[in-house]
This record gives sequence, C-alpha cells and structure tokens, in this order.
Amino acid sequence: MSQRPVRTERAPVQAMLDRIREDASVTRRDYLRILVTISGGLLAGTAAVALGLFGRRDEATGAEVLVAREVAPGESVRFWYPSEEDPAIAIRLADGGLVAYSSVCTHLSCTVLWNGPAARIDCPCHDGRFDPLDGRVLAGPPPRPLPKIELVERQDGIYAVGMVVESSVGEP
Amino acid sequence: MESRRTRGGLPPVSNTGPGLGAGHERDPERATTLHARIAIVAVIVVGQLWGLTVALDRYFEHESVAPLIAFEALSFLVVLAVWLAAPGEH
Repeated sequence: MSQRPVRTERAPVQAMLDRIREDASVTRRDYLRILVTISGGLLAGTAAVALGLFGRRDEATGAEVLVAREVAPGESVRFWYPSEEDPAIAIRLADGGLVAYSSVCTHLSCTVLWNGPAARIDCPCHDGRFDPLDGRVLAGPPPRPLPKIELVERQDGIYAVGMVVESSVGEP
Repeated sequence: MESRRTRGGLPPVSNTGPGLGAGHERDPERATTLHARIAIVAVIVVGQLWGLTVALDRYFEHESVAPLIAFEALSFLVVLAVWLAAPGEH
C-alpha cells in the first residue's frame, strides 16, 4: 500500500494552529477595526450635520402659494408648501387669527391634523399635541415645535409666502 | 510500537467536533487586553451615537453643533489611539 504524498512541509503543530485560527472568520482585531470605522462614520455624520448638508424644513424657500380663498373660523385647510411634497395646514382660529404650519410631525413625520373641538393640532400616530397659536409641543413625544409658515391675506385669497425661522440662539 | 498515519502532516481525524485546542486561549493576557479595548471602544461608540442624536436635535433647533463636533472628534481620536495601541496580529 502506497503512502499519500505530504501536502505541506509545515510543522504539524503550526499547521494545527493555523487551522484553528482560520475557523474564526472575524477576529477580535477585526471587531476593533469595525468599531473604529463606525466611530469615524459617526464623526463624519456629525460633521455633515454641522455643515448643513441636511435641509431644515423651516429654511426651505418656495414661490408664493395660494392656500385658499377663505378659511372659516375654527376650520382648517390643507395645502403644500414650500414644495408640492411638503404638506402643510392653515388654521383660522376662533378669534379670527390665521396660522399655518408644516403638517409633518417633528417626531416621526406623521401628518398632523387640526382638532377643532379641542382647538389644538394632534398627531394621531403617537398622541403628539401642538399649540395652534405658536406650534409648540403641548404633549407627547415630538421634540420640536411645528415649523411655522408665514401667510398673507389678500383680496383674492390667502397666500403662503415663506417659512418662519425661529432660533432659540440669541433670544433675550 | 505502531505509528499513527498522518495526512498532510496533521493527525488523522478520528472524532467530530472542535479540533485540538479549540475553546482555549493560547495567549490569555493578549485576549484580555483585546477584550478590554473592544469594551472601551464600544462604550465610546455608543456615546458617539448619543452625540449624533443631540447634534441633530440642536441643528434642527438652530443651535450650535460645535461642542458636539468636538466631542465626536475627541471620541474618535481616543478610539483610534486604543485601536493603534492594541496588540497586533500573531
């Protein structure tokens, strides 16, 4: 009976160690490398935020948009501003005041609705509630107020003319 | 005395399951050092994730993100230092 040819000249112990090592497809050094890469990615992401690569809804600009000819007190109307992909809501308050906000909830981007009887803006997804007077959060998980839209009333209707940027920096 | 036949320099496989030496650290000190470094880096990365969420929130509220950038950069440098100082490959 002939003996099989020897495939390797490595020492048997070293060959065994190599075989054991090859069983571990991801080494602990690899885990460290992966974590370093994630760390660098998080730094890059934060830098991208600081550089303003992500658009803020309240900084968007658009052409004037006709919201409605008229809105009755206590009623609301939907429109799209500043682009046709940005839903918004205009509300005629009981005292006659007219306000408008982006209707994208600042929590998880559900569409908020005007709750006439309760006189507030509600997000049906997670029970977020907003004040119709200034868009601030009254209750629920939303972290920020609703972006406000500037309206102008003219003879022929109500127009959205811009976003109201409200910064907490430098406020008295 | 009967000699065992070998295949390619390795002892013949007589049992299924993990091979010789499996499940045992060959260099416990090195392994402990690596585990500790992975734990430290993982905690820092979790902190960076938190920093990114705070940075996003501050950005959308028109507040300064500079302190968060500094925090993230410092965290990354620490992670880099821990990685570079870790034991190398065998």
